[in-house]
Amino acid sequence: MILKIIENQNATSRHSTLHFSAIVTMPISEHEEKMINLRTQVQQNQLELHDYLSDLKSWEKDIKKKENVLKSEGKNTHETVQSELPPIRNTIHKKKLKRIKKEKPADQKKPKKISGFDFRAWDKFDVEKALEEIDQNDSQKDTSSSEYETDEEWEMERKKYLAGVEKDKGNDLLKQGELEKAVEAYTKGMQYDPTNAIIPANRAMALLKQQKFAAAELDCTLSLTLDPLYVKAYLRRATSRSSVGKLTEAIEDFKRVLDLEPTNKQAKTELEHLLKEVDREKKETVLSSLTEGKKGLVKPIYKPPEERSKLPLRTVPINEISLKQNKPLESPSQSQSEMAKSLTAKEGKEFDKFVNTALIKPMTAKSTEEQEDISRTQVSSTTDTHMEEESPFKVSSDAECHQLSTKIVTQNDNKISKSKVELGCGDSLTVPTTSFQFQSDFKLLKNKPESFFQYFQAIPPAKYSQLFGQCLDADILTTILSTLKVYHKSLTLNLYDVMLNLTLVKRFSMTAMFLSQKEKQVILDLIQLLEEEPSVSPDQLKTLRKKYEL
Amino acid sequence: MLNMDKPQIILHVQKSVNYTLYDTKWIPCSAKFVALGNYSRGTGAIQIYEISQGDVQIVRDVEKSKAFKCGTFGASSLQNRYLATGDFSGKLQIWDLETLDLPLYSAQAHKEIINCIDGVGGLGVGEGAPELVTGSRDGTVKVWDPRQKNEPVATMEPGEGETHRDCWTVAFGDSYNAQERCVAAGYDNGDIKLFDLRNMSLKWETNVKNGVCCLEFDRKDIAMNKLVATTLESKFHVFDMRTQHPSKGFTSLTEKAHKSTVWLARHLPQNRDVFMTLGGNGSLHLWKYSYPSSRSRKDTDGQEIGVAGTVDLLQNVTLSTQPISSYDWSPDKMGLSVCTAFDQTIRVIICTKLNTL
Repeated sequence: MILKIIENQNATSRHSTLHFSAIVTMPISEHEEKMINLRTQVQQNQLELHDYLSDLKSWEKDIKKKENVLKSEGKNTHETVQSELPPIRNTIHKKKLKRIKKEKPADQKKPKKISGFDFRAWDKFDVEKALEEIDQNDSQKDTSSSEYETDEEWEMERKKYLAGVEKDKGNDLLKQGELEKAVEAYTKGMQYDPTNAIIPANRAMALLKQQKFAAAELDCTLSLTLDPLYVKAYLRRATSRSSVGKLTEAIEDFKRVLDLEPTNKQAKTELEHLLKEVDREKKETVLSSLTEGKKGLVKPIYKPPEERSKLPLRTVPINEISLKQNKPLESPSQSQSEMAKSLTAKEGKEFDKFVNTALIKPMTAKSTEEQEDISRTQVSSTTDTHMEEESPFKVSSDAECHQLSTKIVTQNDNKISKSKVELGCGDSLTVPTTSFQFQSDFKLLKNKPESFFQYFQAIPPAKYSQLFGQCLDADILTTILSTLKVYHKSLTLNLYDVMLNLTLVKRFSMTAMFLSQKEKQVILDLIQLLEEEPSVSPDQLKTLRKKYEL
Repeated sequence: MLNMDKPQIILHVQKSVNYTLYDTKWIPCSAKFVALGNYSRGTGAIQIYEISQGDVQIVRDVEKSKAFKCGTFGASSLQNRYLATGDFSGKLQIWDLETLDLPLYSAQAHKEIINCIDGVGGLGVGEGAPELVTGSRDGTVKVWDPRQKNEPVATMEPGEGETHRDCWTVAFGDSYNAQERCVAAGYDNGDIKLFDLRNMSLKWETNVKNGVCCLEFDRKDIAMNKLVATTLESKFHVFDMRTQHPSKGFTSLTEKAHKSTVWLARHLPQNRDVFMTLGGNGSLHLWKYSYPSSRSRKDTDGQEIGVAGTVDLLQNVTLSTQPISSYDWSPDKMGLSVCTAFDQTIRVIICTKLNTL
């Protein structure tokens, strides 16, 4: 009875419950009410659970039956289900296409040809539709043309293609100077197609540019195991080997290149260079003993313990000596200035021949002074400061140079039909139009910087890439650059134009790579000159630096 | 009377075992479940139990060389009911439960332990290819098609130079037709990433500050509706996945629970708005999600933004002193579920009155 009342009260709020219980004849306390509630709840839950468990038992039986049915069914339906499934993600199904293609031609009826005199039929003929059909047929053919017998073959072909794509990407990045990204692209390419000998060789190139010589050497070796006749890989390996001091191995590589390609210029010059270096090293090792070594060079010595001095070690006081008081030892700029000295000396002779007057004398004097200045201060001095110091010189020599160049220009103008450059010492050479011509002229003028400068100046910069073609070797490049450096003041062409156009020559980057430290110094000096010119923006300079691998 | 019409969580049967339990799954269309774990000698355990007459009987007991971490039936057909497992050595294997001698499929999926696995496209639920997704300590998430040997069909890995985060959980979702499909992955640093498998792109990512222990969509085979993410530090989040704001992503609600790590969340297969969360203190909390009156609104820029609903705690019970490692609702019998805990005990649990919610 009470239970029922309470259950009714469930619907109403708790407050009213209290109210109501007060009215009921049999009063119940709050605690009692709670207990009763709990009891009913537990009873309810028990009931619920009981129901659930009995339900569970019947379910267990049902599900077992269902499972058995499923198992027996499974054997029959297994295959049909498989075929209905959608294709595997990210794979290409070419094999199936082929089968479809074979069936197609049999089904298709050939459309009837309309006779040329059946005008009514032609009226009904829908040209657009016909064209569309033709297009469709074409595209169908396109898709099925690149089919392969099996999925594996197709996959191989796909990976090779992807490798090619990565290689091209790498090459582009390399050209843009993004070396690390290029290396990444090549690495991906190598993963796609590990049989391709070109990709590791290209990666070696990128690594070389990053001066990771050991890694480059490894890559070249890998490339050569894939293709033992790949000349570029030998060249690059030789470069990396010579850079890490493995001279004999580098020489072997160059020799191998020459075996394969006897006309390879780069290999020839590099080989000569290396052989000389090896000779010199041998001599040096013979000559340099402990006593007569170069100043400041301390060679390690080994003495067996019994020969060693028994005297106690004594401390040697070290005195700080300022650089100004002592003339410093060997430094890179000095060796460079030596070269410049010899150059200026030569140039002086040439010029004396060329001009009867002592026109060039101030200039040579100036440049020698400049060198002395460099050696005195031992600072990588900017030409700027010297110019200020020697402003009178500058003015005069500039004027003279200007005279000189205008002379040439006027000459050029006068004889424009022949486009001849009159040079001193009897050399009369036309502006070259072919790379062969340039090569032969270069051989003649190689040792006459002044004449070569005149000759070179007559070539419009835009023509460089055509003229040098594939043969801008390090020798030519360095000659050009050093002459430019020496005669930059009399240059009528825009120096930036010249520098930039040189970089546009094919395989320039390869040549630039082989430049020695000395030669790079020349370029650095030239770029420093450019920095002073207001017309050249820092961005342009930056690209130039990149191209010259500085 | 407060709990009168609320569901009851009742421990039906419990069974102790002699290995560490990591995962348990009901075998679809049966009264059996499979338990996976790790013997103390480092070997793996697959055991099949059947419930009958108020007790559980062991049907099969197999020991394998590598310890199992996780398993799923999600990518298998209802006829075959092949179990896909991930183990401590990074191997993905598929087993026929009738013949457990050799796996039907085996691939070295990851370099390190496979933490989590999920399957979709099987069991006659939803559409699309059968696919498995695995997440590993090596930081990668890989999608597999059992028809393709050895190679994953998709790999989601951190970019070069990025640190590899431990992937703790993966979940399929959005598989409402043959093409659409999403994978959600949760990482130890609180990152949640949603990958769109159709476009092969990252659809959304967020960070919930604490390591994400479990992600689950309320349903795999419908357009994304809700995603529950449970985290360390006793919190879980429910994301409304219907409306994606261009900058704010999906709206979520955050709820505190368990006073310890929320290890898992499992949606009731018969009602997608009811889910159980499992705590590190051995407790089970049953929740019901209520939708707001309108699930999206326009923000100040006129962009659609989702509106989060509310969750109500229906019931809670503590069954163990150790964390609950896995929990699975029976897909066939409403209210029947099995859970494993680190106290090496399998428990069959009954929830009553779920049909009245």
